[in-house]
Amino acid sequence: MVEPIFNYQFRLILIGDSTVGKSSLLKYFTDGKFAELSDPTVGVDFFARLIELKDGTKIKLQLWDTAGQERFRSITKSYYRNSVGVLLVYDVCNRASFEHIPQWMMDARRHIEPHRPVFALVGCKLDLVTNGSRREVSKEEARAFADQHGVHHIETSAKTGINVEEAFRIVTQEVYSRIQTGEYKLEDGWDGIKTGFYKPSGFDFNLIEAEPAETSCC
Amino acid sequence: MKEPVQLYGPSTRAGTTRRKYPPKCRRRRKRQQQNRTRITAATSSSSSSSSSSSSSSSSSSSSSSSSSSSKTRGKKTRDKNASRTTEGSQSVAGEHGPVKMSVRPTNDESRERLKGGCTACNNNNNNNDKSRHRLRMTSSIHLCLFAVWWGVWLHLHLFSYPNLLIAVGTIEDTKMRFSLTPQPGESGFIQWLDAMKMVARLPGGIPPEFRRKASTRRDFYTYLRDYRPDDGTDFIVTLLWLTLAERHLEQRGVDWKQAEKICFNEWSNPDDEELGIQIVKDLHRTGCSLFCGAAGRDNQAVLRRVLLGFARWNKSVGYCQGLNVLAALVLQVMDRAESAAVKVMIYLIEGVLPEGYFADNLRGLSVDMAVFRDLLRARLPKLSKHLEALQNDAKDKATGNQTGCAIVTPLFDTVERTRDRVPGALLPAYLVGEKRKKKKICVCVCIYICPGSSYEPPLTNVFTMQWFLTLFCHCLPQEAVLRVWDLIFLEGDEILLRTALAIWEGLSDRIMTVTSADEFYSIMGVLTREMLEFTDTNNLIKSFVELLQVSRYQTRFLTNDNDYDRISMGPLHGVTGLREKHRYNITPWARKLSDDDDSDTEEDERLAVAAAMFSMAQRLKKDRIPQTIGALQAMAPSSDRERLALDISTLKQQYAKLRERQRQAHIILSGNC
Repeated sequence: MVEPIFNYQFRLILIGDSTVGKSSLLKYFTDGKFAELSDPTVGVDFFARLIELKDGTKIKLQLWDTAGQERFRSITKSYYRNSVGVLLVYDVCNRASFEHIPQWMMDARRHIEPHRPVFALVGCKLDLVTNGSRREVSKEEARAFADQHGVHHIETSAKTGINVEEAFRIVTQEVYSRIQTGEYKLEDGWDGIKTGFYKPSGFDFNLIEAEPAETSCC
Repeated sequence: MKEPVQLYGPSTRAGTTRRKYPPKCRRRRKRQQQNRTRITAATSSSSSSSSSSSSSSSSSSSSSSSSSSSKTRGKKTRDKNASRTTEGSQSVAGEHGPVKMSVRPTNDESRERLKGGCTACNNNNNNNDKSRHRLRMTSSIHLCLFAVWWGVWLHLHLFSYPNLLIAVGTIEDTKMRFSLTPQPGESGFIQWLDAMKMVARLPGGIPPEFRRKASTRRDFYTYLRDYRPDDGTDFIVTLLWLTLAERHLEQRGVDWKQAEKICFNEWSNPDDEELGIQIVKDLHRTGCSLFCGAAGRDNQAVLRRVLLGFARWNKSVGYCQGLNVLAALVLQVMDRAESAAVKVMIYLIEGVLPEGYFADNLRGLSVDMAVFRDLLRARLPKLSKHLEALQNDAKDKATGNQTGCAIVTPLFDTVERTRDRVPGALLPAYLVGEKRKKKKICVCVCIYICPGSSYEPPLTNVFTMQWFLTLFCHCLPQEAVLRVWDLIFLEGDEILLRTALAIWEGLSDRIMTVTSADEFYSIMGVLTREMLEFTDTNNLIKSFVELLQVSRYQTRFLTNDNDYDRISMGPLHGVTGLREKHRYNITPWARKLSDDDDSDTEEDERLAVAAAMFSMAQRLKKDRIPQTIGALQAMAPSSDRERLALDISTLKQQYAKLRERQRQAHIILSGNC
């Protein structure tokens, strides 16, 4: 058995309207700095980072960034399916982006079914508010929405780096606790969660040949 | 021996020049024909062996009549000729020019020539006859060098036409004669286009200023003065993209003055606001130096007008993320000429790229990603297998064990088709039964096993999607991007697939070493960064241009299947067919259901699946059911379900059919246990 450098691997996906700051959030989280210039995401993009939870469990996060524009949804939705965590990202200075969150949430739910992903509502561009821009989504309102749907809420800024780490951490922690409570099972036939240990291959062609005959037998 | 006037005579065509041949030239033609017969004989006996003097003496002359061979050989000679002066090269082109011009081969003839040309390619330079021939060639080159060069030079000074035909380059092919603008008429345009295609494939490619219209004569002189066949950069002439774009608009009968008014008017239209918002969002983050910082502010306004102009022109595409990247590059090349940039954008998106790359839920893009996977499977089977293994491996690990669900599909669905829809489905494990209709197997149900219902999108998709949408802007160095774009403009959308193939081929060694999907994604991050910095443009272009040459000129003359097999290493033939296939697969067209036989078949397939699935599910253990149904849902494209849901009467009909099929499937399944 190979000794893994991580105990689990979770797949997280970031969704939300275009230009709310998904890519910036992700780049800050993976590179530790704010990218002044980032091209709009075209299609999907992939990042990875290893984090350590409080109890020392090492988790590898596989992070999928998606294009926000409406017409990309048919392509990006195929990347929803294997995600265990979903970050619903909106811009605190853009009302419309918040109003679209229920739609995004529903989309994600539908595509990840039958699994139940961990959601987090993430407000971005908090630095703009402190710089005097008009906030269009109040913290209370977002919190209320989050509570109503039983999801986490956090406000972040990829420019100052405030709460970026936490946003990903709360999702990871939640997924991990759900594994521990037995709500998520690893043998689920699902790429959302993987264990870092390599299982001995149980692949057996005979079994496959035999199975349909066996199960369809009257 | 040739007057320079023949060099730039406006589009002299086949029959007319033939009569003008000087006796010497006629003699050569005769000899050439004799040679050709001999070569054919030689080829038939042993096609790969380099034949002797006959083919060598014909190598220059016969190659000039066969485009493909001349190009292949041209590459060889190019290197040798690199040190020659421009004059020398011109004279070579001049000497062989008219021969080429006169020959418009019929199919039979050209096929022979093709073989002859190929044999000639295989000649080695040690051949004595060949070197003698070369000697003669060189002396004649020197003889006519002066005449030709002075002809061109005088012409330059006497006539101020910028649309002057010159012979440039080191390839002995009349196609290398190109004009700054196409000659009037269809033939003039084709000639110009051929020349441009040729230049685009050369090392160095098309000089930057070819891509836009620079009309001053000074540019032209500078071009001649600075022209060096080898340096590959920084020389002049004019217009490529714009000429093609303008021609496209002209052919469509577009009144550009009118269109321009609509595209660029100052008043805002009702839909502008929504478009504008998204465009403005992307302006400041268009990663092109032209549009950054304080100086970029003005340029951003230009970019905005161009994007809005295009969106107004093509309302169904409007604005799609990725277009900003394309427009930025177009503007840069067009030297910020807005109107020209919009024209080029229109040509690129409506005239060159397949439909639905940027609109219609990007269906065209999805189709091309699937087409590309097929090509990868055919072209780079080792890499493709490895990637598929990684993709499936990800699932296997996730599943932990392989007690997957069974999928029942009609045998009509090829293995590939099923695996595309339900990735991870293994080979058909179990043939359940078949139904015949009019002596043809109509429905044949077989069971696929897939390890769990998990779905991992094909690994290449993430990257090909970005490459195709931005036309490689973000993955290759700009020099390479421009070269690829030239070829896209000239040769069409197939270049996208070729470039992507060439890129994956270049990466394949590194990718073969990875052992998991995650590792693949991680290493791709590194590789794409490296690619952006270290791609050798000429190598990249060369690797797919070689394929291109075969495809263009050989397939045209090949009629029977054996011929296709012989050259199947070359062209990507079948791309159109693949696109059709996947267009159907990805989103089946909405077809009105009727009772006629044809549409029945399609429905039959689906119903048989549904029915068999249903009875199957009943037999499976309880915990299998959700997975099975999940798999069934994965198979039935969602739009289908929506379509069916709309039409109640159709639903009723289908219900009746469904029940019948269910009965049948039931019988089949129980009969087979």
